Amino acid sequence: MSLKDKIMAILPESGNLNACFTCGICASGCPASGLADMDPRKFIRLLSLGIDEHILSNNWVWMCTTCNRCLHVCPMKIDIPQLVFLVRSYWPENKRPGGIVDYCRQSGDQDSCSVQKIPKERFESTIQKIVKHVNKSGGEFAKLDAPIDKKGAVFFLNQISDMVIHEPIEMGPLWKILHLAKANWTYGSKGWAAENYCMFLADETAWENLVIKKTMAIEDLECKVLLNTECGHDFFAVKKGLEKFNIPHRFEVKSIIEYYAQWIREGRLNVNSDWNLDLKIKFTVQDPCQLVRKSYGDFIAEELRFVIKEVVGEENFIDMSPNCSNNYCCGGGGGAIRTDFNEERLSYGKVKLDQILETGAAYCITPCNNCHSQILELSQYYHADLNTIHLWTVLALSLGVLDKAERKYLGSDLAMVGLQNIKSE
Amino acid sequence: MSRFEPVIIGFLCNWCSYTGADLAGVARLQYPPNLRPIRVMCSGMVSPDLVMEAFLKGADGVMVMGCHPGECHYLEGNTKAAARARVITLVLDDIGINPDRFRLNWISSAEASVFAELVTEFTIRIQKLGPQQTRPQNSDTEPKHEMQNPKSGEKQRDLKNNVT
Amino acid sequence: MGQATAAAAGASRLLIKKRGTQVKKKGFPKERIIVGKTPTVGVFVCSCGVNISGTVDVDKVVEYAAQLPDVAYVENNLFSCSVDAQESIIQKIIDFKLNRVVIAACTPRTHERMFQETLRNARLNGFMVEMANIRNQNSWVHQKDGISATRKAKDQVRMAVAKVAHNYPLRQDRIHVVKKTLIVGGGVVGMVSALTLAGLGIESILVEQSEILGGNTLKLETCFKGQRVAPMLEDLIKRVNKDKRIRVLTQANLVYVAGSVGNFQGHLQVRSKEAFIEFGAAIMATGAKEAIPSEYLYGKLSNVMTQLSFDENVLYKNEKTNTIKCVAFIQCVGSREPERPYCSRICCIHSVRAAITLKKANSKIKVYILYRDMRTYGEWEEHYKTARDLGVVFIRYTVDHKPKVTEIAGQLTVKIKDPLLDIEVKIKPDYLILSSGVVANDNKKLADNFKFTTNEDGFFTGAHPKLKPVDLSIAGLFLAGICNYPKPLDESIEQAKAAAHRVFILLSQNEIKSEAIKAFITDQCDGCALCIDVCPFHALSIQMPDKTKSENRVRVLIDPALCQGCGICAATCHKDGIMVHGFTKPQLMAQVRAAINGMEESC
Repeated sequence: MSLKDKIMAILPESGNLNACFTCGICASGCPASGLADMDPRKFIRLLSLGIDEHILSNNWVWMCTTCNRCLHVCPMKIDIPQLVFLVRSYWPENKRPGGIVDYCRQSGDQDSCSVQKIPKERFESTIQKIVKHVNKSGGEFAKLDAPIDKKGAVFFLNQISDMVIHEPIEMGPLWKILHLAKANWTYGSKGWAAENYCMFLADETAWENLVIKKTMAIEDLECKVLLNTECGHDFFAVKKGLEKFNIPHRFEVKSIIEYYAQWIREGRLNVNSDWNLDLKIKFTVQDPCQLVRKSYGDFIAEELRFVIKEVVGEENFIDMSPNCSNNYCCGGGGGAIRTDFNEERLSYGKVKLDQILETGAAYCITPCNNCHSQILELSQYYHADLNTIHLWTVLALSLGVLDKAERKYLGSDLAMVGLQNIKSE
Repeated sequence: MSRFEPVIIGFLCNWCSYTGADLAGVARLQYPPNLRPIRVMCSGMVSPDLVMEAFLKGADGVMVMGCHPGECHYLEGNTKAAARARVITLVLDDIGINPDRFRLNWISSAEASVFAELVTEFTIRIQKLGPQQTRPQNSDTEPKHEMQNPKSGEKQRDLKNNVT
Repeated sequence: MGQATAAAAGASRLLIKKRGTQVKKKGFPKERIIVGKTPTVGVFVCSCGVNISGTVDVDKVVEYAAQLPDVAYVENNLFSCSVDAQESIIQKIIDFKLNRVVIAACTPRTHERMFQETLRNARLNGFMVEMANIRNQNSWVHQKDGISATRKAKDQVRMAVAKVAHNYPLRQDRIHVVKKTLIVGGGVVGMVSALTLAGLGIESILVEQSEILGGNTLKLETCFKGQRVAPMLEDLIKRVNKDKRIRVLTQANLVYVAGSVGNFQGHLQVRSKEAFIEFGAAIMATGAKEAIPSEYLYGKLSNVMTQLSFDENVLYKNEKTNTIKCVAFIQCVGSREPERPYCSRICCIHSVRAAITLKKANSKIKVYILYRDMRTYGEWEEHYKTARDLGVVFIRYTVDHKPKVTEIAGQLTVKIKDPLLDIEVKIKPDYLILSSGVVANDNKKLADNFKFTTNEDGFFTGAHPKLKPVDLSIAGLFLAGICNYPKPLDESIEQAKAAAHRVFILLSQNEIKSEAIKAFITDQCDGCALCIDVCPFHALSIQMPDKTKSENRVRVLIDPALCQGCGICAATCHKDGIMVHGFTKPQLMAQVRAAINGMEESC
């Protein structure tokens, strides 16, 4: 049975790769075109002509970030990323990229679902340490808490593991924002990690297990919303997983961007762009594929722009081209950041970097941790004069609550802005 | 107003070139105002007498325009016009009028831009050649030229035989 | 236009009983006799809103025209074609006893006929009007030079006045119409034409050269929309045979044709007998044929076949489709190459449909279509998608990298380079189908008989691709179906109905008017016969002197039914012995002289 026949059997609907009339629009707008002498059209073509050995030995399926841009522009709406996913699943485990395999297996072994080995005690102590640091700034934050397992909280906030280990200080700005917005939130001692590399590995059972674990953790605490931190892929992995594996649940999955916008509109977050009135520092934004094109659509992209314009001033926001649902992937998604194909990943990302630099902005806001890591690496690798920041950083800055220690990713132009109101350690 | 404004007579066949010229108007294509169009049913209808009369009366240039070969509304009128054009050229040379002052062109009913280009090009050519010298000083006199002289009937017959 | 005409045929069929019941006959007052009267010319200069007056100084043209010889009246109209202006022109003709009119306005190609009627309403012969085209050939093309445009307009008016002075009344002969149609070709197109005409009350003679009706359609299993063809064909043949208004002649050929629109005569060879027929109009529905391939081992192996023979021998036979494993089609075989540059339009759709039929009969069959450009135009695009959805694999090739077909021990191998992967793909089909396209039948004799021409590829072409798609260049002759160009059956049927309606319009008249622009013989004609050979329509002949009338001169005789008024004869005659009405030597000479004379005064 050929790969194509297998796929057709599993996916009678979205396996419509036959409908391809080889127009090549997919390939023309795919940054992975040319990597490993492949592109989305060739991929489809190999499948339809049944040249399977080539597909199962060419690493291109792991260089593809499954960003969905090919599907977005395909006139026949052929779900190429879905086909890439299936082809990945037919690779023998020992041939799949070790980095992704390790992350998936590691997360499956732990209650936290984290790709890092973080025991419950370490998670709790790290949180406590940062809470103390924030409390020191006094005033409204003197009594700030970052609760764990608070039953009945509205929001169940997830957390990027890498941050817990490598830069826990980055958690502070987000807590302050939640505090100012008077959000009733909690972390969970279980299922808190905002990762799902099993999805990237195309291991459906393991992917499902992670979603089930997270679901149980949220349901146990009776939270109403899984508040997804500034992370793209886990949002998609949970939302899509709940639907795909038909997992019963009573909570909603929401991106924090949606709440940033809502709280600003409601006056709960009193943001102000006056700090940039004279500075006129320019910002652009990378729309995370997983959030925009693959989940919410342009709605969240509009919300994102609303928040940024409120925070940096409308005239200081410069959009990239193309943008929103038509945006190019940065190249860090789909697990690519955990493969050994670094050269290819950086060449993929060069397209994105050029688009960012084209805007002339000094800062690229990346409300997704994968995007953040990738674009940061791109600008260092290609020696670009660019700062890459989380949205919470600039949001906290405009609220006047960003302390000195939380400014790691800001350039010297913003090192001191708004510090006068903040009590320093 | 020292620029020489030539008088150019154009015989335009009803089906292709006259229609093409109309279309040039619809498309507002601009060309010099020196052409005086005369509508004929077919370029094959244009007797050499008419062309010679134009020159002997003092026209600075004459254009005959018909359908492209193979597209004549009357099957082969344009090929007859082409044969006559060769004779006209010979005669013009004989009587001392520069044959460049005469030309035959094919223009389809759709080729408005070709029409405008050809008229422009021909007008410039005639402007460069300057006024035609046989232009009579007194336009009231009826010139008795060789072609109409019954005594030269033999010569005419020869020419016609060449044509047909 | 073809579709619109076909729809009109359908509408006419419904209205046939009421046809003509509400017609008001347009009458014109009796013409004034103007022979022998000196020319009295009225000049009407149109502003065409600002189309003319925006560039040309219309007042100056009016002023200039007023002092030209023979001119008795001049006026300017905002729109000379408006109803008000028409009435004013009629009134002025009467008031000023004008016997000739010059309209300086737009082009005679669109408005001359209308102004001819205006004159007739003012008791003048319609041919006493000339137009000076000061819009399309002046104001619109000299927009930046008003002074020169005004000078040119004066010249154009002067030329028109000079010509119109030589105009004289012309008559249009009435020709009796034979209310019968000849239809050449007894395929679906010929039959539909005949039935459409019968429904409109017109008789026809349906001439088919083979023994049976049906033509190419006999070889088709289904039409592109999927319906089976046989029941439709049977029904058509039955209706045609039953209809008293249709005379069917099989094994019949047209030998000779004479006459012209409204009045043709023809000789037929029907089996061993000869028959003489008369008809007022004719429809060419002679079809075309599938080309015979010369490539890809065709003729050497029985499993390399054309589309039609695959349909007939394999496609609809279950015992075959159940066992086939792989089928390949090659498109554009012999088509779109220098020797045969056109696209046959129907082969892509045909192959795609055959592929669908195969896949539906047995989904395990691997089907490949090797193509250059997939031209499943319009609604047929749906078939292309269906075929892809069913798993038919399409591989593109270019004319310089054609597929290679080899055979070893009866096994066919087709090698083709997939242009996207740059990989050579090998296909081992049980059947290789060559889409060879459509070529014209040998139509030369028919075209020569009727004196029209075919295009380079041997197909008949309409008089105008958009405005007169089913008219041939000769009045009274029409065409329909794939003798025109390759097309699917439904489009052919549409054309058949359109052609029938064109015939209906012509033959529902009892008599038709001949053109007035025709050649005539003058007293100068000495019968030298130079003009006879050059006439493309064979309208001229020699008339020997009638001794009984004590004539002694040989003269040329014109058949007005054949003369088209081209004037090749007139330009050939150096004695002014033959001329064309409306374009006589004096008229054209007057224009030439006027173009030059008076240049100075008009400046």
